Amino acid sequence: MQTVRGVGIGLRRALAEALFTSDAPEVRWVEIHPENYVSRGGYFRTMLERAAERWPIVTHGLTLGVGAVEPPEAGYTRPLRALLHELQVPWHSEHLCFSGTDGVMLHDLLPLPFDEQAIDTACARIRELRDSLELPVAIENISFYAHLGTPRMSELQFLLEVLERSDAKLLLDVNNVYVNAKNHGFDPRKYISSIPRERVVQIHVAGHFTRPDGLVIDTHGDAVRQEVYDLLEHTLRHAGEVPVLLERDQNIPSWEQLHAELRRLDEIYQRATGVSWA
Amino acid sequence: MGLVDQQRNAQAVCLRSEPPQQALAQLGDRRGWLVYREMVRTRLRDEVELGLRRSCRVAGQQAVTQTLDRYLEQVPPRTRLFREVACHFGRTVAPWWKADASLPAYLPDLCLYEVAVWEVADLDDRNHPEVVELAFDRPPVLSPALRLLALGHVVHTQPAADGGYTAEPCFLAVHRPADDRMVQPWRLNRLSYDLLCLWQAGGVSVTQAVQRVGQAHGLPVDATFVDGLCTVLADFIEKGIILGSLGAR
Ligand SMILES: [Fe+2]
Repeated sequence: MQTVRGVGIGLRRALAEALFTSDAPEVRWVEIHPENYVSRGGYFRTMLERAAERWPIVTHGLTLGVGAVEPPEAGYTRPLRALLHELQVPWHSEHLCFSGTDGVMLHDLLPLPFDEQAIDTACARIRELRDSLELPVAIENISFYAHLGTPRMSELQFLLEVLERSDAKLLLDVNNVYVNAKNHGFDPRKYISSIPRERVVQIHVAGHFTRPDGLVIDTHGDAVRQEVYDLLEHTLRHAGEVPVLLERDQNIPSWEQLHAELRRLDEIYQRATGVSWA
Repeated sequence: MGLVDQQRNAQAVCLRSEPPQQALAQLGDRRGWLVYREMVRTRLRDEVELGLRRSCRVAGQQAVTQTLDRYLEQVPPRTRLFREVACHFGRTVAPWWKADASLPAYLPDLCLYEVAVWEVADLDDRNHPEVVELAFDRPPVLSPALRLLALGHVVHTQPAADGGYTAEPCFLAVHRPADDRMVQPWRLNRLSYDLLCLWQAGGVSVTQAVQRVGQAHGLPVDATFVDGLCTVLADFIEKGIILGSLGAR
């Protein structure tokens, strides 16, 4: 199993060449979406092999949202398991959300109702996934723009209940906490301080965008904001030495700009955790 | 309301050509769910327009919008693999476009050709059985990164000055050589196309396929035929379309 420390970046086709050819010692691992590599040849396979030669890899799924009413089909989890074991990932993460029902796949991350039935469903999916992948499973807190029905508890209570009852790990997306705090009116630092630090295995940071009507959207297509860097520092002081990933999926800037963000994240990581690479 | 009904409501708001008012009312957060509707539809449309760039340009914004509305409402994607969405859309809507007299007659062929190119770029070329040197009494093994198309327009070339494509039977092998990112179309004659189709289906030796195809076309399998066949086979082997013969199992 690979050891993952420090700052990583999401492997994307649009930035892969720059990543491979640049000298960026701040990048200590990469994250992939396994759906983009399962049973795939061509450029994506080559890209993955090049990345795996150089860095530890962590996998972050996009379609096994643990709020799905139906368990996932073995036709997908079997090749997924094979890929994860081939890459020797330390854990696999999915989102605390659903992405469709009755066999339809919307290819988006939709929020769950914050209630008992959704908690039970998520816990069942997490246990099944852990069993079929034979790996620790982490879930990510999503950004959400609507409630599905009347909430019976806060998003934080919902997340903590699922973590506790399923014994899952947490991929804590700091930008999502920030976005949700803005849209739904809570204190993001209090939210993060309430999370048991031993649950957190990985952190995400990304950029967001504020619409003219004030709604904040998690885009993965903008630079990381100062408020999110500050919240990351708070998170690392609370959670300790947890690897941090920069997510950038759209509107990919120059490598110099991305590299500057990675350097900044690495500085925060070292300062907040007391780790020194030197 | 149970979890599955809540999810069905959310899904209907995202997929129906008009968001159902009852579902929106039951979900309770109108603005938020319309944001999700927009996000879901935009993401899927962007992917379709990326994979089927030329077809969408020919169809035009309005036809793409209408087709996508119908697609999402009637046969939404079920695949987990995002890269397959454009292929699923293209294969689903090509017959719809064929039935629509207001669209160019070559559009369904262009669409199926783009689907094949998009798909072949990602096929796993290593996913094939063990191969030995080509022998006539064994089934040949074809490259897994291969799609065979029988079209009615020559859509793999540049369009004519008026933007259209010549209407005539056009048989294509859309192929990606091993370790190569570039997908290439090869135009085939009817005989070669039929042979490759038989071999791709599997279980048929070189000789058996030649006999069947010769018979179907009313051609005598004589020295001239075999000469021509050897040239074609050598060409397919050189291009990496035929990898060899199926090894002992
Ligand atoms: Fe994230």
